[in-house]
Amino acid sequence: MYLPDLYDCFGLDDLKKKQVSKAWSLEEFEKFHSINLNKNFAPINKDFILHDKIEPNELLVVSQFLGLVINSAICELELAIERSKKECYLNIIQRFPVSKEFEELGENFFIEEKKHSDAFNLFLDCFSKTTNVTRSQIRNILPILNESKIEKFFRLNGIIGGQALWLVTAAVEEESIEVFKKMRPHKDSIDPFFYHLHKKHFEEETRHASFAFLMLELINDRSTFAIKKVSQCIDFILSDILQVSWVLSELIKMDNVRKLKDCHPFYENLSKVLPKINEYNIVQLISYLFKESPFVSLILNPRSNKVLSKYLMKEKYLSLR
Amino acid sequence: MEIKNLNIFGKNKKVFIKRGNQGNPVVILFHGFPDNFFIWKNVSAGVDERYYQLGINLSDLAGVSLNEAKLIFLSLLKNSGLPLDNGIYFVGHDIGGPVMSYLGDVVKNDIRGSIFLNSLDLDSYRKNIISKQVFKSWYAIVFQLSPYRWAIKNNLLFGKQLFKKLANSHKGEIDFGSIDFYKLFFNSLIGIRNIPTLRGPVFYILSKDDPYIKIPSRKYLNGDITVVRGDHWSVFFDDSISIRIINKKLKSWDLDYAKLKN
Repeated sequence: MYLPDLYDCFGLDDLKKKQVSKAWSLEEFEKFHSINLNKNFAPINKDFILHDKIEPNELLVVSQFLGLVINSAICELELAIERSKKECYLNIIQRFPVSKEFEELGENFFIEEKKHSDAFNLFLDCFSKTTNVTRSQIRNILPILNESKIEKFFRLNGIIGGQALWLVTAAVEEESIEVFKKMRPHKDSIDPFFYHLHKKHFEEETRHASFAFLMLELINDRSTFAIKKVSQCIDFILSDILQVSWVLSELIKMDNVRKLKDCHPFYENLSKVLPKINEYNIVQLISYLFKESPFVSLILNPRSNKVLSKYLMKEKYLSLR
Repeated sequence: MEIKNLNIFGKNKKVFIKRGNQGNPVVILFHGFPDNFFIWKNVSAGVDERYYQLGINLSDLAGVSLNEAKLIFLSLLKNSGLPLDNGIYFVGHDIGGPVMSYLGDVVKNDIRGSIFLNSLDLDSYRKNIISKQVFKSWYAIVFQLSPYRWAIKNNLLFGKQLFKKLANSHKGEIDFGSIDFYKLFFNSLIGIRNIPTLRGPVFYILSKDDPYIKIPSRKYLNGDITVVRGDHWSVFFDDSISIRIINKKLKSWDLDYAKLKN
């Protein structure tokens, strides 16, 4: 990941110009009118916990469901960043100004995050339409963050000078880059809309993922010694626990899929898989989700965030990693 | 960089002059404590050649009343022979920043903009006084004692040696002549009277690790800010990013002025 110098306004300006000149628009996705439900979303290999226990058509819907979970999780976290802009960004640059160029880079970061969540929403809309359900029905089975406790915690933490949101942002940015890297070798078996969405997302994330690290550097540089130390002791542990507990608790919503089984074969097949998952005990399932589940393990398994881990070690943050 | 001797009210005053291209503004450089105009050597070489430049020694204006200082400043400008009617930019470092605020009304309508290098305008210093800035300006409180100022100016109390120990990043000549401005500066900060403000846009270039300036929050500043790496004197290094920032800012102010004129 290219990390520009926070205090080199010319380098920041060059990066912003590059981001703007290479930016894509939502029109990119106008050519996709439906989802190909014969194709995978998340690539599933033979190590998948249910691989030998479920039918190929059930394996396909599980792959698609995991893809939807990751889309919804990224979309929700990116929207949460946008909603926390005042407390976690505007107030910080007001207290700790750097340069006009840094602020322009920040504005562009938020524009791109909003656009990404809109793009993920387009996909979810298209999926709902293809599977004959409403968006609110599909929201009942996927992770949702709006105004949750975790989001309120991030805002409160931002108000008192903490860094939790930016630590989660750095993790999410890196995770979404990894998602596409894992997807790339399986391009032909993946739904074209899903693949194109993650490809475009990957392109912009690689260009702007460094912004979260610039914010962390700024807060560390300019906060008082006491706030910095408290932040380095608790912010990462708390944000990690909250992020993981949020994903786990939201995955339980999968049970709601039974209510939709008459709407479309996708939900019917998915509901057939549920009893098979219930054969495993909670420890086995959590252990699997953390280590091997396609995509979801990227969020739950902290070892996947190499750049962030390196940064945390360098800055001596306390972590469970 | 051409050193010129000017006769001001019967006394010889040295200034440095750099000629620019006809029709362009003059950049007036105000050094800080304890420097003289030679501190601007690298900055002057890096500033766009289009601009005329004038560097003054603050010691020539110190130790007299503010009105006398303004008169001397005006005479220096007139005798420099530079074309002042094309506009003026102020660039000041350290105590040179507040001095710019005091002298601004001598040329008020001609000022097109002011750049503060590791310095603030008087108004921002005053707004920022109830903060860590008080601790960072500890020396300004010590400088209020007249015997101390006298001793420093006469290089007693091992002044130069002590300074070199305290400010080991300082390079170049040491000139304690501008110390008297700290009395005026301190009075302005704690007084209840209105303090002078500069006309035109204001821009701050502050070093992240400057031990003498606490970077204020935006509400205490009167203009845009760019924070750079380095300490109090690193803005004067020949490879300093600050020189590029100054050129960029002057160019943008030129464009703004041209738009306003049209």
